[in-house]
Amino acid sequence: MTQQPPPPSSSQQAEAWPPKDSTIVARSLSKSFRGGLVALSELSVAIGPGVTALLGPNGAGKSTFMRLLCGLTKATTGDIWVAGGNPRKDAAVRGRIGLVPQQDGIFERQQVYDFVYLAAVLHNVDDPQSATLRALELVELNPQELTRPLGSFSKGMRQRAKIAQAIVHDPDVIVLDEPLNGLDPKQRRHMIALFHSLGEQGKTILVSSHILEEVERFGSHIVVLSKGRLAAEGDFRSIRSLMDHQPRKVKIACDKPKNVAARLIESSSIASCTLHDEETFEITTADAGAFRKEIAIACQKSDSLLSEVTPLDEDLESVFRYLVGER
Amino acid sequence: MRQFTATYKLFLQHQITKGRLTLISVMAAIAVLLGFIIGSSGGDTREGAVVLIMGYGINFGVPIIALVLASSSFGQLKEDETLVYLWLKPSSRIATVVAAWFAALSAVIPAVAIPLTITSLVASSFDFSLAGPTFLAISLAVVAYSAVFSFVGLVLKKALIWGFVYIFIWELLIGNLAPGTSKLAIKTYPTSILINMTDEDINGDLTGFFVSTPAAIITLVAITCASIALTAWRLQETEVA
Repeated sequence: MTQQPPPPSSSQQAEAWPPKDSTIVARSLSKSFRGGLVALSELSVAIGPGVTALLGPNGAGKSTFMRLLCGLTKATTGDIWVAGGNPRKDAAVRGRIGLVPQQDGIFERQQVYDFVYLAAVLHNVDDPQSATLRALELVELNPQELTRPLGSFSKGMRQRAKIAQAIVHDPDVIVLDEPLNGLDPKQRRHMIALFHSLGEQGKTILVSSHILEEVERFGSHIVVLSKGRLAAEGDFRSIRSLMDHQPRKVKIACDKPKNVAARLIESSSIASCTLHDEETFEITTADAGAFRKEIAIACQKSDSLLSEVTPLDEDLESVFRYLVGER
Repeated sequence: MRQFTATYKLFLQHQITKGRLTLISVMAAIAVLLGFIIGSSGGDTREGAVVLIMGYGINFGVPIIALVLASSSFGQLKEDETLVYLWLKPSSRIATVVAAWFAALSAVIPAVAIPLTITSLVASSFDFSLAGPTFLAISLAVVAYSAVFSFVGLVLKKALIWGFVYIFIWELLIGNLAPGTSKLAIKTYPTSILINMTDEDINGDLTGFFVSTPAAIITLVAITCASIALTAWRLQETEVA
């Protein structure tokens, strides 16, 4: 029998938390280890279908959170629901989860085909043979390699075998802990496209990675953990726009950069200004709204042709650095 | 059934390694060699054969080989962090544990029961009345020890070391102290079956150390069932890497 998350408290009702389409709901989730190490503290987060990137520096609690939502470890306090149930107690819920664990451990003596086939059989897939071949094809494992033992595989090929066993039963929730480790650039692109495709099919994909450039390609929805706590959740561009107190860096290209920079620096919204070359300069502003007006005025008064205005810190890496650095 | 077979094959593949096969072969060869020495020494070779099966087989061979193979079922999966690939599946915990235990049985029974039965024949100058009791006693010992050591492999790191401590301190030391403490050792029960069925009067003053054959069989089955149930419960509760 699956359990539903309890109704939201009165303070949460206004925001209707968790959202109706959430497949993963953690409420006040904490995990401590012997010796007092707190891996997660009072984490409340709801994740719905599509691709969500789980970010955080080493020791932020990402892997612990992933283990909790697969039921691999018990929460110290708080609750977690995945696909409407508790994965620790409910076998049917576990059947709806696919996991690529971070660790390299794999059945070294097993052939890759048998490894994926075993997962299909244990998930009671109707036609495990076809499902196995389909999953192996999705991760582009060469059919000629299927009888080789996993122990003879490169790290990248093992990683693809791990992904194949996680998707062989067509799960609703797919948890991928550093799934791109060991893959070459072509395979990384292929896997990112595969995760997108699964997300578009309505599956909930939670991916952790420490390579932020790649995470940015997974999509814009992120959950950021820092020191076991939720640092931010949502679209990283929206998160950046909410960080009003964090000065923004903007690169400007025009034909008279010295003149435009001189006018801008007089403005109270500009904190600093650095000339790069004959065409570009960089400013730091604490008020993006005011800056947008002032740059237009400054160019007009300087009789300068503005050719480029590029925010320099609205990429995921900057947002991540600000979020994690703040805490 | 398909799930059970797949899990069983996986455990069997994990248990059978070159190192373990070498250990099994060496222990079997030593048993047959000892049997040959006793058989060719003259005197009451039947009693000598029973003492050899008790002393070398039930006291050492069976528990050591059962420990090495059965504790690796879950122990190795935990050690190399691959247990997650079984744990996260929606299959029943008891079926997983039974598959692991069954894999241990299908490796350990041929590895010890057959060589020790041959040993009993060689040592007794081919007294075929020893074959049945030896095979039964050894097989039942394997059934119980494999279940207990599967549990040990799941719950303890360095299960081999703890298993040897258990065999030498608990089974052989405490189990031989007095009739009361002997009932706490698993070896008492297969030994009782062997003694009762062969009707050999081995050291009459040790009579109090043994139990009747039905009591021995029931106790071994109970130990096995309890160990399997406990392992299934512990598997559900375990923290998986």
